[in-house]
Amino acid sequence: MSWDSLRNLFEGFLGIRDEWEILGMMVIGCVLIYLGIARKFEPLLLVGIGFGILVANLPLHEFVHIGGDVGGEPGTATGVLYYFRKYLVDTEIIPLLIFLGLGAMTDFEPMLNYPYTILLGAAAQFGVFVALVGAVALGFDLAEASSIGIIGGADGPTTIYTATRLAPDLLARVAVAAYSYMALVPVIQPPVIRLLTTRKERLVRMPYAPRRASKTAKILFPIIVAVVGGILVPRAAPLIGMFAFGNLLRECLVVERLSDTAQNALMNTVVIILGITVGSTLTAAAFFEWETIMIFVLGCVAFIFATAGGVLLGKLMYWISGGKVNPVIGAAGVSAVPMAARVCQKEVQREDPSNFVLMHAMGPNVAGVIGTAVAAGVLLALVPGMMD
Amino acid sequence: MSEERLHALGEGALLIVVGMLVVFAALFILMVAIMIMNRLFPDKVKKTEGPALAEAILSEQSERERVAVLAVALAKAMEKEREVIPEQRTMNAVGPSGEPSRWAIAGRERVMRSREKAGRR
Repeated sequence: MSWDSLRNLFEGFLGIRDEWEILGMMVIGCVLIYLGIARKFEPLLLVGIGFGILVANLPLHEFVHIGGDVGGEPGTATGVLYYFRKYLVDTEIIPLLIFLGLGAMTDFEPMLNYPYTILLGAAAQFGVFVALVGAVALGFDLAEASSIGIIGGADGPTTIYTATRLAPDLLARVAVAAYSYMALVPVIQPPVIRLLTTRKERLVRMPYAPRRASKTAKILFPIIVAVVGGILVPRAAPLIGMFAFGNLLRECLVVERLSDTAQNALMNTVVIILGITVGSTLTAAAFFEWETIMIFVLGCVAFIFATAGGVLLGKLMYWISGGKVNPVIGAAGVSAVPMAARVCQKEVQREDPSNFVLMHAMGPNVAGVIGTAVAAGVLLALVPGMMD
Repeated sequence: MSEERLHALGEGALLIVVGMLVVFAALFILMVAIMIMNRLFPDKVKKTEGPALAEAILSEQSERERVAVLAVALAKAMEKEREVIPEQRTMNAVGPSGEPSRWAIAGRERVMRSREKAGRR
């Protein structure tokens, strides 16, 4: 046994000596795990992402190894999380399966009962385009700016889908930013809501009289969504189509086993893989750059303007309806389901504990998912042509 | 700011306008589709609401009448009971000369015996 082979026993410590930045990344991973477990900020995602960051930045990077230092030829890549990314995330399989599960979990009844709330989901997409322009102003090209702007849609799978196609190099950072800000919705939205609304507006009561959409309407709706979305924005047809298919499985009531699998087993499996894989893409080399800080700042800007867009349209509806619409529900157009709707309910209850707007807020909340997919389709259709 | 960046900003502004228009158009179409569906396919409960509601109102009225009759009968029965019970009490609890009745004494003795047993335990 030579001294060189004995050195291999300490290669972990030598790895840290050679790449001290990985300690910083491990701290960041632990922070996200803490936020997920102790503070319960989107634990389904942050625990996986945080752990992915942690293990991907261990010395020697055995989980995600790119290069030829440990076996294989130079330039090859190995590691279980590398394969997850290459064959499941980069091929868009995972984001699309998540949308299938989301569709199966989504109840469109509040939106079908109050169709006008769909428009609030459209208004909240304002944040996507404002962040896009902000990114261009900071020096990103249109494709990168689009991948950053879509963070404002507060939709992880759509962000991954868009970034994979337009700016794969930014995928790791925009995905982590998107999921991190989704978890921070209860922190970001309330100040914006309070700034843009008056106490009188927040006190507006909206009695919920469920009109019970018919079974036929509930079955037809996802089919119409798939067709309308597929015709208007064909580049987003996979996203919209999978979402609609999941919802159809739920609403047709003749494939309950499939709906149950989509909502539970399938969703849980893909969320586990997605979380740890997305986290593993955030290495020290990618993170400690000015670009990363700008992406995170722009992500916050996107969320702020998305909330503002929804609330401002809510104010317009308040004015048009003669004070019958509580403008706070506009903030739920940010498609962090159901977190944004709960934030609206909490803000309203701060003024009047007996006021319930949650069911009204669920309408724009689920509409926002469709709105974000449409916005992604617009970007995927226009940006490649504009870059040429 | 360079010309390239200005040009890119202009394209970005164009994207805001076009993007928001398309998003609103798509969701507006869905909103109209929902309104049409709600009219064409109302919930079955609502469809039958008219005649069923009338039936429910009629049966509710006859139900109320039944309840009213029962209430009156019960009230009259309770009144009779109240007249009977005071007589029974005067007959059973206290004798004509004012001393406790045999029933009352037997009842008290039974209670005292049960308390003795509890005490021994």
